[in-house]
Amino acid sequence: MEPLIGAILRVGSLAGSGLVLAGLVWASQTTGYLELTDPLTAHTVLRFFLSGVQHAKLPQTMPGALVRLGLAILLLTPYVRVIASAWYFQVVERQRAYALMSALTVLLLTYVLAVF
Amino acid sequence: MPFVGTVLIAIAAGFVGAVSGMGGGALLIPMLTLCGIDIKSAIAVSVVSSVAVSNSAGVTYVRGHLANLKASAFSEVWGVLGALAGASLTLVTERRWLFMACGTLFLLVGVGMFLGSRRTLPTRGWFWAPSPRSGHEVFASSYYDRAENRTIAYAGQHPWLSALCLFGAGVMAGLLGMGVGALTILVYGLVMRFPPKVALTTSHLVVGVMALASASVYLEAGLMNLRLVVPVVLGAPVGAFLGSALVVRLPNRALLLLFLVLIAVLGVHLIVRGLWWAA
Repeated sequence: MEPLIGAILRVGSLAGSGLVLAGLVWASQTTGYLELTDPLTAHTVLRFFLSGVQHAKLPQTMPGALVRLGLAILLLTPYVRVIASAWYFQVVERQRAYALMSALTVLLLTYVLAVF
Repeated sequence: MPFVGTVLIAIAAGFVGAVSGMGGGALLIPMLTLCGIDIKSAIAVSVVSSVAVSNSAGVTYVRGHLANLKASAFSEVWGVLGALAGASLTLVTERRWLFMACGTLFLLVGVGMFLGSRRTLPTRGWFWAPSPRSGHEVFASSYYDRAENRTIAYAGQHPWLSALCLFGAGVMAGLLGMGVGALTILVYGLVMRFPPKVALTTSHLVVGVMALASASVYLEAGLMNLRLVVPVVLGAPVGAFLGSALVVRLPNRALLLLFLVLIAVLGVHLIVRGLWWAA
């Protein structure tokens, strides 16, 4: 289980930071200085991620989109980790008690990320 | 604040967070507020930093079999439940007294741990010895300690008391917006009787999940300042990576001493915040 969880954390960490850095570099190429002034608001983390996807459709908003996507991936990495834990406990290790605990955490986080 | 300066602060905060197990806010919040940043914005940024530090440091700790994934799965449920309850109580609670109570708790526990450790004969190199086996241990595991050059087997105790304490830690985190890392380490070390290195590394995973639960609140409130968040997201993981590489090489005693120093600083910080709280 450790290699799987470690891989998720590594990919999430690198992808999140990488996209944020890419957006920052793109913005500096466009404006000439390291400055991002887009308002960073959303109702939930999941809507924040979707707003990043929407911003990515237009070239002029791509720097902000990359930053939003990077931040969203960074924030959602623990969520994906817990989902993977629930799956691994249930399917691979056959430890239902821990699978149930992780699944309950996933439900609570889903409520927080999508509704709260 | 200048971009490069914020990145450097974030690297330092990530390093301290990874080594102390307290997430990204232990150093970040005081330093940002000293630089004139509003406390609420500083806390919002620290939430993002906590997740970044948890992700980055977690890579080293999980792959090194230091973090206990079963204890983490057990703890996250109670922590998130507590955080939701704490966030719901925010509007009806006088937080000034909570800051002061939490800060006093940290100081008292830190002093108690320090005095107790001086009287405890270290067994097998641990700073304080685990309580005798009762036959009710859970989350049994082992890890290879590079500092001591041997494999250390351990098991957790008092799981349901720990669950209650972790729920309380989540409530405090939801109310205060900080301190969950320190509280989690205290529960793992004092109640569950994990070795310091396991308590520190496992708390990182729990802190990441609980910080995520808080992120939506700060996003909706518009407190996520992009000019602060971006440099923190770039700097904190770097510091956390360096800090985690150091942790696996330090003995448990050194980590515990560092934790005691930081919990004392955090306790004083919380008390001062409570005393200067503007109604």
